Amino acid sequence: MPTQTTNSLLNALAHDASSEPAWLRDFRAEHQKLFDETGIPTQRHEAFKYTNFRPLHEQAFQPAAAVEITEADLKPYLIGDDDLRLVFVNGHFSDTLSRLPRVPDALLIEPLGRIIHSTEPIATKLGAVVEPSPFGALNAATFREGLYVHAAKALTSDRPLHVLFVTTGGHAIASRLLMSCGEATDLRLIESHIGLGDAPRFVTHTSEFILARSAKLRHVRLLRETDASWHVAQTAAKLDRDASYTHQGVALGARVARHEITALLNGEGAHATLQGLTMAAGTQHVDHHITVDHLRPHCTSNQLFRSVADDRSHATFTGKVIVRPGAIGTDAKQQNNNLLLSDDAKVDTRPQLEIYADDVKCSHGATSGQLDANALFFLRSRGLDVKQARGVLTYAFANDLVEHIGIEPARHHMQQVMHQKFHGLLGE
Amino acid sequence: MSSKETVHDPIAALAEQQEYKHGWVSNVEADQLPAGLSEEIIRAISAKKSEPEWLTEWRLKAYRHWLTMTEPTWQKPQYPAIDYQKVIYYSAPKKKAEVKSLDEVDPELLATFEKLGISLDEQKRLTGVAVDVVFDSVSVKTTFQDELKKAGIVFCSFSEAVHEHPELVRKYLGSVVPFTDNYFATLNSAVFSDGSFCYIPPGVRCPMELSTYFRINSAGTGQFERTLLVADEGSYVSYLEGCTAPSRDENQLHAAVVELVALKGAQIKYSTVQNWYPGDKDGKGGVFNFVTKRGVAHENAKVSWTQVETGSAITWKYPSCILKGDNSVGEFYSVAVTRDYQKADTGTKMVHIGKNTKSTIISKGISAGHGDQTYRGLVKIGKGATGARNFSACDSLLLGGKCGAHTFPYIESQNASAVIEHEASTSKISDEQVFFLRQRGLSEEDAVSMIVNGFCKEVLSELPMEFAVEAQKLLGLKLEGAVG
Repeated sequence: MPTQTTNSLLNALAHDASSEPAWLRDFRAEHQKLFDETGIPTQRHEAFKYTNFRPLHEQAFQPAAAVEITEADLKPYLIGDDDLRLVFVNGHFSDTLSRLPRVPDALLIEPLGRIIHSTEPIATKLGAVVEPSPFGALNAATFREGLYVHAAKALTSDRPLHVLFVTTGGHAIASRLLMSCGEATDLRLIESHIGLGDAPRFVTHTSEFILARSAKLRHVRLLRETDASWHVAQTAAKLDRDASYTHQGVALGARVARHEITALLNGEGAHATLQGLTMAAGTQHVDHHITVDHLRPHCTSNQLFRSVADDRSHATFTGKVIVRPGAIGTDAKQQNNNLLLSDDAKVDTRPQLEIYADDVKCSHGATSGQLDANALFFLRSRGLDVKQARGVLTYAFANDLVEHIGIEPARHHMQQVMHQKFHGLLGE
Repeated sequence: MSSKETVHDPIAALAEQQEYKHGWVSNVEADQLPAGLSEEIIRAISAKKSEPEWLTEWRLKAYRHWLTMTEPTWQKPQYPAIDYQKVIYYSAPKKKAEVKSLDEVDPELLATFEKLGISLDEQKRLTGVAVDVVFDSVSVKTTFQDELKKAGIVFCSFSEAVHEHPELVRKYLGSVVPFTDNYFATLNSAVFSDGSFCYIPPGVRCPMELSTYFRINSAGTGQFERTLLVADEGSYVSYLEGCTAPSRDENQLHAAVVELVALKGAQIKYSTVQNWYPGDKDGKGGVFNFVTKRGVAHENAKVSWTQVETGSAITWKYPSCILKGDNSVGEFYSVAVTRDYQKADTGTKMVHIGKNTKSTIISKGISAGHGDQTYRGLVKIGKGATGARNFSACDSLLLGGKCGAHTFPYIESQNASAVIEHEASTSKISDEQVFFLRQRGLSEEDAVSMIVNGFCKEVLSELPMEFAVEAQKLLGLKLEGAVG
């Protein structure tokens, strides 16, 4: 049963939908019902076994309010010249901080709050991909604002679209992103979640991607929330025939971050690459929950998730590959490596395979351990001190993912961030 | 290897029903308690075995606790609800009384086990294997007892142990699997009828393989046996377990508990070849094999589980190791075969508590027909388990497009110095592999057989010799029609 303070969170999230179209009100009501069945999940809920949301009940949150922030506040988080960016502050769209110069007619970018009243057919797209997990349902029932992106057939662009969701503290925020990529499009998207200020906050965010035939999307997701943030997100992509979705995430923080990623391979020959790097320190808790569902024959998927857990942090990973009956020719790989840097850090991992077809190649691997003693010895024999040697090896472990980020400006930006993080440990 | 001329597609043929070889019923008069579960039934079971007061109380405590529990539903295989009031909890062959020599054992019983290939006549046995034979609810005969006694080893039925060695039983019963452990273990604690008990004194290396053979015979009965094995400091024992049941349309419940205690420096090797009736080709009937097996390894001790699971409609068990002492070792080797409508949800738990503890998990699953199997395992590294090491490999082989194979490992590490590796793969027998062997002159059947045997070799080679032969035979029989 929800306690008094959960009610404070739910009250803060409560959304007045009276001015919205009927279909959206029904959509919200349906999801509200789903959420009410479970409430905020406890650790008795198998999917949430390793993540404790109980402290959430003791915190009070305000309804999301638009807070003025300046370009200077945003500066450290901007990527390259970032001339195509959309900024949401506490879930409210910011006209002043966003830059939306001339874009091709084939590309439609609009805040959800405006688009729901237009003729654009989004009723069939919203919520069509994401699984209604407890927090997914909560988001669907309460999201206030978000972004809708639609790319018409054959649009290709190597100029990344950067969407920034900024929080300033104290609020409970529900935001959403819906992107529909037409046939044979080729696009790049950077999604940043940024925390400013010290006050606790709660964020539920859902990103949905619908990829039509042969569509290609590179998606980089950067999580830089504060140590006082609760960040619960779903990312889901549904792929039609020969479509390709690449997700590369870097999670640098939040007090508790839970990220559910789903890829539905719903057309022959579709491909999904899902990668994630977690750098957890302090008392951070980062939980990744991945589902790759092979629904059709001859699809391929590749997962690589790495975690570095330092201090008293806790990194958890659950990854499931499902191969449905008849999905022959599936090739699915899943890899999860964990590095524990401290005796008080904790790692839990559940790599899972669920297979109902015989002509498939599926494998997964998981490792957990500390830095290799021989490698440390080698570096120390070359004159590095313990701290530097550990820094070099940890950097190498993490950089494997960073250097493969598929959007050039984002990769460059993250490499700089990593350099700063390891500055002094790596020497000059 | 017999060659059948009309087999064209060995994999398709595999999915066809092969007759269960142990499906007959022995005509042995049974002494049964009425079906149903109540405190009276439990007292009656206890009275039948003239148990001491403390054990009766222990059973009742378990029963009362069981009433407060709900049946778990998280497992993959679903099954029709079991009516616990319709199960017969005690069934024993009549005329048992005091069996002093083989001549006094019911000849029908002897014939039964002769037919199963288990001779109770010590003279006739070629290999040094001591057997405790459990028929329905009670132990019928334990062979080689005198010889073992000379080494100080206690090997007898559980009921006998309760009377002969109450101090040992009382000390260790429920020490590894407490009566509150889980739904089926608690049920077992309340109604367990018999089983084997074994105690190896300090420093003794058991001179022969010890083994228990379980046979369900009567209809409507459930089998609830309990095995307790204590290896005192520095001792060694290898223990084997085998089982069969008649073919029946109804589902029979088998909920056993096995507790192993390996004290300082002791080694226990526990092997199972499980061949309960798997149900017919449409999935009708078969045994529900819901078993709790767990071992505790103290300092420098080793607990090793090897299992070949070919029978049962549903197998649901996780032989586990609690690596309590420093430098203790846990091992789990498993081959599970599911075909027709068989389902298996099996795996292990390795709980690392002591320093420098090591565990190895090798699991091989073969799924054919509509078979469905799941590896589910937990590797948990406690905060104090400095230098712990685990390696797990789970491979699945799929034969046919209607079967399923799943892997659900849980890995929890709280110690930075622990090294954990897990890998799993799923594949089918590739055409290239078969082609290569065909090209060398092997028939298609032999080729598939060879590939399957090679796939399982890592596990089969862990079995004691006497059992490896049986297991390989069983695997051959199981895949007969395809692999000769």
